[in-house]
Amino acid sequence: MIALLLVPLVLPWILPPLARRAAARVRPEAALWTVTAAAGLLAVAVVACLGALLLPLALAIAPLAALLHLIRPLQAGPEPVALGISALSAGFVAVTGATVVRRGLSEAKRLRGAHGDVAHLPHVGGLCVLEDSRPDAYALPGLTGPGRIVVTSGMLRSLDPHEREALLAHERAHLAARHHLFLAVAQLAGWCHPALAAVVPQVQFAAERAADESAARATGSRTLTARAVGRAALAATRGGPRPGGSVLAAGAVTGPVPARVKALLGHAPVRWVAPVLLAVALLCTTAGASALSGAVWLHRGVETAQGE
Amino acid sequence: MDSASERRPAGELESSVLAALWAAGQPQSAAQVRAAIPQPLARTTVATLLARLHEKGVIDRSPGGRGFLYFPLEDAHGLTARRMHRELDQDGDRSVVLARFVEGLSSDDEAELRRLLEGGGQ
Repeated sequence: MIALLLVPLVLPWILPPLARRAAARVRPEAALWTVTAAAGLLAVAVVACLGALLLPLALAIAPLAALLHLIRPLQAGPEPVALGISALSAGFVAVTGATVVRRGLSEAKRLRGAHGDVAHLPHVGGLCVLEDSRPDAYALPGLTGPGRIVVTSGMLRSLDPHEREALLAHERAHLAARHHLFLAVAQLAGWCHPALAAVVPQVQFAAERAADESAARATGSRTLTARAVGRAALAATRGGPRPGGSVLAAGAVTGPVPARVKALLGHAPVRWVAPVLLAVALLCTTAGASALSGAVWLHRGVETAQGE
Repeated sequence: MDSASERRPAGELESSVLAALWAAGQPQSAAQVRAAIPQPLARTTVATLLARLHEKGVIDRSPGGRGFLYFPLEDAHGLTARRMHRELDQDGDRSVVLARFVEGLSSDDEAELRRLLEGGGQ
């Protein structure tokens, strides 16, 4: 029965292939919501199960058992197996907790630093221009107030007037739709489980695609938006070797930029619901049901050990 | 005059004008700015936008031929840009929450992208 608590730890491995299909076949907004929600829910299930699995080990310690008024040992399956699994999950909990705290703090520090850097710069309509020949552009999410669009002069000079509008519309879409919250949830989930870490690029891709489609609606042309994305990427690459560029290229036949351009030049996926989204929903339901019944079973075990 | 672009939030038009001035790389007259933004705006609208940007201290102007020439105000020699690059690209570990418009391309990506842009499709 302890297996019920192990199932949600294995199920996340099914999400990455589903997320890839969702990103390719469904409206980007729908894919973004579904995949992010699924990653978040599966991460909660993983953490809940790891927490529950700590119980057999914790309650084998006499003072803790006394604290819960146990009058006989907790029966959670064959003792060596139960204690072994319990010890393993204690290790996972420690590693995961440390990762979340360390990476989370460094991400928050980085965002605060970026905000501090642009705080003194003048901005209009949320746009902040940096004097820098290296083409670059990003949406800096607001920590308390509205966010900023940060663009280098090098990027503005690489694009024609219409492409500039597409770029600004793309960044405005990121900020208006608060895509950073989706990315934060996905990243947090990724720190909790290696399979969920593999889903982060899909969430990033869906967010970029959603902003691209939004820019295409704002400028009235998908071809123009495709050209803006493509020319910006070529300009950024010409701007010299970029740190981290090699990490992106690892194993992928084509990276996200050509895929975005291809999607904009072709027909946009229009489906809101597709079999793949139903499969994601089923996956989350299974993980939730399994975690819940595992917890109920463990709770009953504790009650039995308390002599009730 | 295109009423659709006139109806856009004022901030969006202001940011378009600012982007155009930065892209130009040299001081521009109001007429040049008007030609360099994709929105079809009235001359008076462009003049108002430039005056507002000037009031906000984002751009400056100097007297030129017929009227003023406008140019964006820079921060001290790209100091901010360098600091941000350093901060955001620590050890190749990228911020995920920060949505970057485009990432650098691998050579395969670059070839594929050129094919797509030149072919105009499939």
